[in-house]
Amino acid sequence: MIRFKLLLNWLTLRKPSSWKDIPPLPPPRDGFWPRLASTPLKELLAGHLSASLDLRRIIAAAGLPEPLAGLVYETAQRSAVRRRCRIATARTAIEHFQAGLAAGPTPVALAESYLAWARASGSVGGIPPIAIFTLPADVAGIIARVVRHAKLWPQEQNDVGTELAAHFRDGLASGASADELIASFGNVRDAARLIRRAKLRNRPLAYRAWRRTCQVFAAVAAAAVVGYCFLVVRFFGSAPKVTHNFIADVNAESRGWSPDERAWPLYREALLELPVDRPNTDDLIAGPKGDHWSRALSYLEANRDALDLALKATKKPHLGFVYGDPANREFLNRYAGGPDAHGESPDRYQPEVVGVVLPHAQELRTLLAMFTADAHQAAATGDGARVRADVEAMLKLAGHVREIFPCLVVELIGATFHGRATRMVLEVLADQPTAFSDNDLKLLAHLLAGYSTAGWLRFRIDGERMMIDDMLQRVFSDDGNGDGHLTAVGVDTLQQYDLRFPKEEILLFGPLMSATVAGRRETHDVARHWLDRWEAERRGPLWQWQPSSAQAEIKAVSARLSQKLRFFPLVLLLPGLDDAFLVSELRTQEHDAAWAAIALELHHRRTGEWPASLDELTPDLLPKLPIDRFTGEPLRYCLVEGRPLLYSCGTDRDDDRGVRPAGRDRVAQAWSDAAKLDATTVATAWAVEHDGDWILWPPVEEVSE
Amino acid sequence: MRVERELMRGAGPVAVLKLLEDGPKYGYELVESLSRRSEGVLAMGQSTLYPLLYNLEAQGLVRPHWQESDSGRQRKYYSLTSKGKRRLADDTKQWHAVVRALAGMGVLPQPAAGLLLGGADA
Repeated sequence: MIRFKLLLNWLTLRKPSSWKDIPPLPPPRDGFWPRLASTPLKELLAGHLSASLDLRRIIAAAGLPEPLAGLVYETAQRSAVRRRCRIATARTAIEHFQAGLAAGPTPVALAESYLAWARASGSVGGIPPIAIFTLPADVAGIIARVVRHAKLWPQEQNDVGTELAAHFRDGLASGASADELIASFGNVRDAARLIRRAKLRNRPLAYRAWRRTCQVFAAVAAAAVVGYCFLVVRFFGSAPKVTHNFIADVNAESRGWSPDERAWPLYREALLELPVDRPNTDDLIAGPKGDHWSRALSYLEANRDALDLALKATKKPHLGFVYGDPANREFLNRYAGGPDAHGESPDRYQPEVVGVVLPHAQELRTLLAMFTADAHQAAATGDGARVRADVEAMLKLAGHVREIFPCLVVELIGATFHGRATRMVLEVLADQPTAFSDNDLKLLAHLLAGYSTAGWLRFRIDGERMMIDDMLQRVFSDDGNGDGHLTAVGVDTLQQYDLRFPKEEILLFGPLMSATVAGRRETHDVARHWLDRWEAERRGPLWQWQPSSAQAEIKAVSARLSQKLRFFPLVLLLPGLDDAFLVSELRTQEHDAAWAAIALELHHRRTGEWPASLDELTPDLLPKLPIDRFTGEPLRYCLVEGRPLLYSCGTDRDDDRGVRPAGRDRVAQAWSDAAKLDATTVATAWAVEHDGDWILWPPVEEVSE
Repeated sequence: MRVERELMRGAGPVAVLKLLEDGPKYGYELVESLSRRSEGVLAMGQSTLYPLLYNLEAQGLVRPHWQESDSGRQRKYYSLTSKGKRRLADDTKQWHAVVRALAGMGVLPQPAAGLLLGGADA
């Protein structure tokens, strides 16, 4: 408070340059309270309200004429905060000016002399401490400069100035000349610096603590600013370098096939023959039970030539789709809104792997639906050979689809195709078994056996590895040693991965993100670690699954903000692998069930009876018993009202004698259609709430919501 | 002879404390006494002395007070505190040890035994 008052004095009092600027001495305060405040306690106790400590009263009592009285008042006001010091200064000044007046000069001349001296000495505030007034101007100037450069509080300035003045005065009194004293003083700036340092040490502990805190804060802030600037330069000054064309790798295999081995040109021709206006593929797949079967049938009949072309294509060993092939231009124009900008040449086609458009995968579904519809029609007319041919075409088509790209999305599409084929077998065997001759059944059994080799339906995730590697080269810088950091271009690239990072905020947060996000090498290694471990953990059959440590690790990373930020490109990119692997297991289960159903039908035809157990089918009709993917035991079989029933124990791994889960058949529907079953639940709790079995044959009619 | 700054930094405070042992002194008096009693070796200007005094004050080794001199002028006198006296005693012992060590190494001539014993062990 005292410091504040002094500072206020310095700020509010005018700094006179001429005696005319000096305000006259204000009149003493005569009110009760001002007098009370200016009366010493001793006099107050004596009952005398003297106001003897009132500065104005003291100066007025001295009888100095203006402007000297006003000058003394101004000088005293600036000199110190403590009233006692101000009064001492005023008395010194009064004595000085009284002596001056006695010598002859006029009050104005004395005031001008004082102000001129103040200007010459460069004294603080225009009016120097009266203590240095009597010193030679050059000596006073040194004191004033020391005091000014020391940048101390006003009270400290006054204290130092007065002490230095006393020192010089003592020196002069001892006979030394002003020049000698100035020469022995030392460097003014050094003195000011040392005095400031020493005076700071004398300040209160609270002030020093506050000052130290401010210094630390300023240092941290400065370091942060410098660090941020470094990150800005690093973030915006470097760019990713795309050095590897992963699409070319995929193309290389397809381009290696001879034209006779490639199915895609025929598929493409068939698809281009189809009219743009076509029924919904679900109407084709639904068959006679669907609401729009007649329209689907008309479409099928009208496009027999295209279907025959597609059938021919399924005979080819490989799909042979080449990305960037100009031959696909018409197809892409029609089904994908035009080829990519670089789609004119396979050699120049280098899109981001994760952004590769798969119009062919989508359109091949139309052909699958047509094969399905044709199989329905053939079954209805008792043409088992055609059903078999269509099933074979669907299975081949599934295989071709899986050649598109070794990633989970494509694998899921292929698995759907495969599941459609095996479901067709199961449906026809349930609804029109007589459509198949014994020979048809044997050929179908052999056909399915060809796909029953271990792991045929095992999903590949090489595409995911490619996606990660491609993302790294497009998002991170490259230091030449496999490492790098997140770049501004990279963040922009990540926008398409659903990053939703406002561009305006990239400037502010982007550099910080680059410091937070793991480097290129670490991201690569972690991604590889997760993918490899995940793949290894799901390599075995479903009944051997344990909770995935890889998935648990990813979930843990996603749950912690710091880790999520650190590996956010991976969190954005990595799909839920467990769900996909589960689909693979479910399709395998259906595939094995179809094979077993064929064997059951053949047994029934041979003996006129259904077998009491599946054991009767081996080894003549089945080389080995089909396995329940949930339990690892043979698939369950029983006769219900004289009809065979093939089923899996399902997620609860408990044999409910072929009783489906209570209520609607949503669980079975989920298993067979969209794999909405949570894989982690399967691996851990085995979903006991789904009490019931999974009916595989005869197929359960799907129930819509 | 001018003493190196580092040496002066060590010797200055103890010299000032020693001068104040005799009683309160003001700045100019200290400058004069230092110059005279050290034969100019420890002479220091105001730019060195006053920061030194303020530092000693911050450490609580000296206590300043304004006092009117015989000539009627206000002067700031510095006197030794009890803490300052203890520090002076400690520093004196250390300086004696340094002098003995330097003498032992032949840097300084061997001081009279009584002088050292009287100073260091007193």
